[in-house]
Amino acid sequence: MHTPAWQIGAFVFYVLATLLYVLRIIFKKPWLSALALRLTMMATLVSAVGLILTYSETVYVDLANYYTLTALALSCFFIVLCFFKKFYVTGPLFLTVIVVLMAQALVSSHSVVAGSPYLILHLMSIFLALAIFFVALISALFFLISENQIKMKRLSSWISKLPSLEILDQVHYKSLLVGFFFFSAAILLGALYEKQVTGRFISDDLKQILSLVIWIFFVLFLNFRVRQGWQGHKGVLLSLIGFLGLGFLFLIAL
Amino acid sequence: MNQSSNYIIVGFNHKTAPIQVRERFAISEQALPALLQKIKNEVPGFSETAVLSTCNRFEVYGVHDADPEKSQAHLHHMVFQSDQNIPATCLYHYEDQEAVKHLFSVAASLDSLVIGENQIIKQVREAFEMAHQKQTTGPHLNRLFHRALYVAKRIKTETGVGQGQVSVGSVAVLLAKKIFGHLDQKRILLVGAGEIGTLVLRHLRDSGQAKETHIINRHFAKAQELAAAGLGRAYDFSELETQLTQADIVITSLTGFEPYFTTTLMTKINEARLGRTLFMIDLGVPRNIAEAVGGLANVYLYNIDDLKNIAEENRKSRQGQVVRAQDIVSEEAKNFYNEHFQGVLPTISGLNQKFEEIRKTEWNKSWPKLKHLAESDQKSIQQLTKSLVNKILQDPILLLKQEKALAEPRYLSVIKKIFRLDDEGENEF
Repeated sequence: MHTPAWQIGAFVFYVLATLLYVLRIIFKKPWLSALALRLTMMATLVSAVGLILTYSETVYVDLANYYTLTALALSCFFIVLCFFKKFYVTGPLFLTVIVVLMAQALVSSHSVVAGSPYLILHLMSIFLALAIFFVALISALFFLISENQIKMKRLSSWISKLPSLEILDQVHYKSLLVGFFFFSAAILLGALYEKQVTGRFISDDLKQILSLVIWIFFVLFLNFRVRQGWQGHKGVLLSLIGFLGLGFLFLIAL
Repeated sequence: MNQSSNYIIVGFNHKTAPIQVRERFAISEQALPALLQKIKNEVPGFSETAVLSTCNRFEVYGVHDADPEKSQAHLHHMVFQSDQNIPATCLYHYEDQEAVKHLFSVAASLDSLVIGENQIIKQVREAFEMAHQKQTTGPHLNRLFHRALYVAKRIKTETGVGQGQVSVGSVAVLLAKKIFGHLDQKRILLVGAGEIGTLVLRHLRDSGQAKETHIINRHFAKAQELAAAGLGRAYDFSELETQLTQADIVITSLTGFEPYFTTTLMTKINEARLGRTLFMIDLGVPRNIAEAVGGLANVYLYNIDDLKNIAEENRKSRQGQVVRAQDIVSEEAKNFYNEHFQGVLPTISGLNQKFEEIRKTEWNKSWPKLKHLAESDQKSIQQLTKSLVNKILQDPILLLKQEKALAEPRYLSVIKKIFRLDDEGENEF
């Protein structure tokens, strides 16, 4: 199966948007980020329409489409953040990851393999969870950098372009919540698929055990964040442990 | 002085006039329309006018179509000396390109008391809008003010002149916004009723419309006094710990030799706050808050020196950008002036040159016959020829500068043909 034209088109738009975001930071011209945001929106629209049309024909397991779906979820999040908060500085970072995902989609084979609906939904959920957890990770990293500068009493002009600590913390927390929802769904759907294939909900596969451990970690973390006030610095630092586990999980799953 | 100048500015500012002079000249917004009309109607030769009146400057902008010296003298008498008698040493005046450059510098906040402050651009816009509304401006001032606002925006975008806060109060606001984003849902607590603490509290309250402001002082009566002045709600000193648990921003300015806010106290308070962010501003000297408190999770501590250092760094950074901003002003003023007189200036210059050459040629021809005259008589006659040339050219040059239609190439070409301005080396008609 050939690479669809819409996927190539979206990739080109994302690449152009990335360049414009980089130029925006170098030349400090606000119109560059405005144009970059429009290009990102166009790429998002093209990807969304392309994926809807593809899945409306047949639902099948296609890794290329999962990468595109992850890029789509990320760009949707990024657009929302740009509209509500001061997030254009993170543009090059978000867009670079999106471009890498889209490039991965372009080089992946578009082999049509029929699969269980559980497997298809499980894969969709896991890719969406990863995309949203990535937003939380970016917010966490920017929070730590910004907080360090404020604590050290060094207010560089670069830091002044970032959103406030409270906003970064909120974005971090809310994306963790949404990411956790998709991660939970992915574990549940994965268990149902395992039951369908092997007759058991869970096997002794390292991937499955690690997924459960990370899930329990996030349950405890989110609970303590609300009850014990693990917000701000402490919460952000602890969430990094979860992201580390997710990164490891992603590597062994590949 | 150039007999055919166009833009003119007369006024004084914080650099030329002391506060005693400036405060005498404070003009209310209600009185401005009448003043604008008076200037336009009564100053001879003033075809357009606008007035910029702030606490740091008073400037009359005008476009004149007569002898600028007369206009200036009348303006001095009518505006600056009739009632208020502003000393002449306090006044300055600019013409033509210098006037353009001055307004660009003013709008870009390069001429302000605090360089880079943002208020002035709004004041320039309001001054222009007021004059425009009262129909005292015309095409020349409209173009000039629009360009000045554009230049101010360009400088703000391209240089760091307007960036960074330069007062302790505004740095505190900047930090609070950097930590919390918006201050509209925040509780601010002032501990101690010192002057600088009150000032910072006002800054924070006014900039972010804080949800609540509370005041605690060792002497309750003083806290009540500030509360009565509308600064917030007064609490007894015994309620300090409760208030600390609830506040988002704490400003302290207590007198005492030991830090009142010890690490032990603030650790206890921080635990009770369940991780909520706390911004503490210690304005006390000696310091009221133990340094180690700044190391607690989600507590951000700044003392008076920290705030002053940031303000000073910002001030230096602004100064560093001033040269770049001034280059932009000069470049824009030159471009504007050239655009304004596009094609006209070379024609005017050609006319002046042509008539001067004719005058010199005719003088050289007549000189042998006038040799017998005394030297002083010869000088008088030469002066007479110069005056004649100036008088002949005065009206045509004024017209060329004022009538935009005449700047069209076809008209300029006719003028050049009539006076044979393109024929080099020919001095006679």
